[in-house]
Amino acid sequence: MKKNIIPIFMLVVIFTSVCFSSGIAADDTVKIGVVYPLSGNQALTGFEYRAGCELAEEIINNEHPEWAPLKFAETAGIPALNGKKIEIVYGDSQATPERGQNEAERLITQEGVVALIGAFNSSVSTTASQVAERYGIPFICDSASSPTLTSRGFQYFFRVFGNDAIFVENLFTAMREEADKDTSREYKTVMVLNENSLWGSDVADIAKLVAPKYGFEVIDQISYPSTTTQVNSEVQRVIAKDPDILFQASYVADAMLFMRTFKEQKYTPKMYVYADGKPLNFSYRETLGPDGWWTVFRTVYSKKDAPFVKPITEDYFAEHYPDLKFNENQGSVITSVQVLVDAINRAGTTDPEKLREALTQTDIKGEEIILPFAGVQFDETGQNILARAIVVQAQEDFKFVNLWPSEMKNGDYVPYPSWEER
Amino acid sequence: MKDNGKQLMNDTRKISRGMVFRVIGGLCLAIFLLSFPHIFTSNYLRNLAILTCMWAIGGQAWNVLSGYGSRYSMGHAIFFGLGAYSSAVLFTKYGISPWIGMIIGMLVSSSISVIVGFPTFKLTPAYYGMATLGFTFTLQAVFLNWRWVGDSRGVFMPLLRKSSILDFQFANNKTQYYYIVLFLLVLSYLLVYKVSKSKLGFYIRAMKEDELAAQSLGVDVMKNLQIVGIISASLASVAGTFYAQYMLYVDPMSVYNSITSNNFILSATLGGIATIAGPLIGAIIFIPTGELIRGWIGGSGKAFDQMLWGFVIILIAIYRPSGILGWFKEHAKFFSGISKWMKEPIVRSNHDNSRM
Repeated sequence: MKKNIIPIFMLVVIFTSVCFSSGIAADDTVKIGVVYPLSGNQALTGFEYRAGCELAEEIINNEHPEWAPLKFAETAGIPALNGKKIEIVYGDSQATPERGQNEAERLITQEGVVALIGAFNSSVSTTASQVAERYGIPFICDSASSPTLTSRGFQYFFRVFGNDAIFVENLFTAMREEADKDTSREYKTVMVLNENSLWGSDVADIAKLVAPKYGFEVIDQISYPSTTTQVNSEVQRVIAKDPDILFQASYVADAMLFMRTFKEQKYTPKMYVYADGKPLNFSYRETLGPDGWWTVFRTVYSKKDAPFVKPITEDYFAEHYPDLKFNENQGSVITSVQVLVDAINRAGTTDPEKLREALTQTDIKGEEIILPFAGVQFDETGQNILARAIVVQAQEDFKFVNLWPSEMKNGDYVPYPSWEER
Repeated sequence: MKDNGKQLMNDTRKISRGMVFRVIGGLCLAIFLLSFPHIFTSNYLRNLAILTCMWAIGGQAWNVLSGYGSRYSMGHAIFFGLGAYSSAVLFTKYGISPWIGMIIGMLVSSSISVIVGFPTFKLTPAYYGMATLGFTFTLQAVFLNWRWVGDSRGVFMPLLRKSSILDFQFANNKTQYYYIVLFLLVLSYLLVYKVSKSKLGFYIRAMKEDELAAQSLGVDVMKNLQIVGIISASLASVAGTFYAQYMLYVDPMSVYNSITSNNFILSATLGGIATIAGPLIGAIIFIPTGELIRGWIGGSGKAFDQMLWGFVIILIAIYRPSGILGWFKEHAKFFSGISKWMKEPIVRSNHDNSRM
């Protein structure tokens, strides 16, 4: 009898304790809701974002004159609201659209947040931003890069981060520039190799659309599932077509698999381009070693020359989060929070409609933010038009050399060597 | 013999305390369910109620085939996904009302259920589970690469500014969504109730007890399983259509996965399999508790809610495999005093009185 009562009793206890635990928070802070995959199989990413949120709170709420000219670092709280502090309220999407929708609903109706920031996954951003749109609460998308998100005609949706269209264009601009400089080889044909989930498909479509504009011809496209364990047939097809430039959108494990198979087959294209920052990944560098050198990729976080970058990323961040390395995830959260606080500061209120209007007039300079963007300005779809990527080449010993944009260039492109030449 | 029959008939005419309680209880429940969105004006709680009802429909769908019936499906996400995609694709591509999409989704799901059923119903229950699980991921792969249905990008449905019952969109009005899902819930539960009391219901229960024995007594196993499969697939498909219209976004990774199927299985098993109210009771406990725990401690990023759920599921598997309703059934003795009192008639029919 006792045995039977235990589980029922437990359920009742859990249920009642949860029901009566809705916290009533003080009204002296401005609440900002964030939705990230804090648990589940993408919890590690969520943890990185959480660190970014805490750092953003530190920047806004406390005085850090040593971090100037980072926006709001020198002041404590929101200046126009008499130094009112911000409070970040977390929502856990577990990377599913349904939970993301539910958390957005909770943050808006229960916690009374003034705006939402999120949500890493494009699918979660889709449902969470719908909730925000319906309540008329601004949604600041900080990292989901699917172009579809800004094509929905939403009025309260703002994306600080670039979208894949911008990033792919950046890559092709850099590819064109380097191809023109390298007179020893001819770069004409491009082959697109993409994993078949949301991100890879988007990137491939854009690449096919953009390539002719930069004088390249896409001769073939191969989609493959990123969970694959062998890629011999794909590699054979690449070898048969022998493109000048291989443009690849892959996750880490499959990217490594391709590189190894290319090595086995002793095949090299004239230029090897990743659509994102594969060589920045720790396991990619450790596993491939010299085989991963000389590839070209894009990133949105690269140590800038700004005076605050070292004190924040190395001194403060490394001390507080020894397990993590500062990357674009923290950078994008911090920038999103700054953009939002800037809008609140200009509007002088947290009224959602005035906040929305202030957001549309956002104009933040490139030197005031930690991301290497030219600044933050939104177009009518809510896309930050000043977002851009940095195109980088991984050279010997994974020394990262910026190739594009020109004001950040700090080295020359080295043509992709064949396996014998290494 | 004849007298006995008459006696039995008279007994059923008696109005016992239990019946009165049942009627009063039912009325109270009906009033509570109907007035829920007016009692709880928070949209968050309404949202939880809507999701609970949605998963309760799915739980009931699973319950028909795997609770009353004898095949443990681990892939009801198949039908959920087909329902979601049917209405979403038809609405975004051709502007066809999701209500028609819902019916088409039911037809598609039923046909897939029949096609999949022919080879797989012949398998023993455990292997049937594996086959359906495998088929879920086959469909996921198909939809990931199928351009016409938006491949891995999924289907984005337009966000309409004004409410329209024809378009199945009510902007921020959760009350309307709630009444629709409640209506679907009541319909599906009535259907399952009818089935469980019908000849088919007795056949499938007999098949669950002993398939060979049932077959030897002339029960057509395949035919009955197919009919139950169709009912089950259609109900799951209805839940899927509602999901699509409520989320306004469908993608293969979120619908065709084992989490969806597990939500059905958990609601049904937690509440009590092969019972009418089981899936609803299970969903009422399972969905809001999970969401509230996550809202309460999930922000810490420690996945406490998932650990807690894992723990609760283990406890149920060890101590309460028959679910919460099963607990009452098993402890009939404990409740016998109450049930005896409940069964006592308070009004007797005239005919009965004259005999006394």
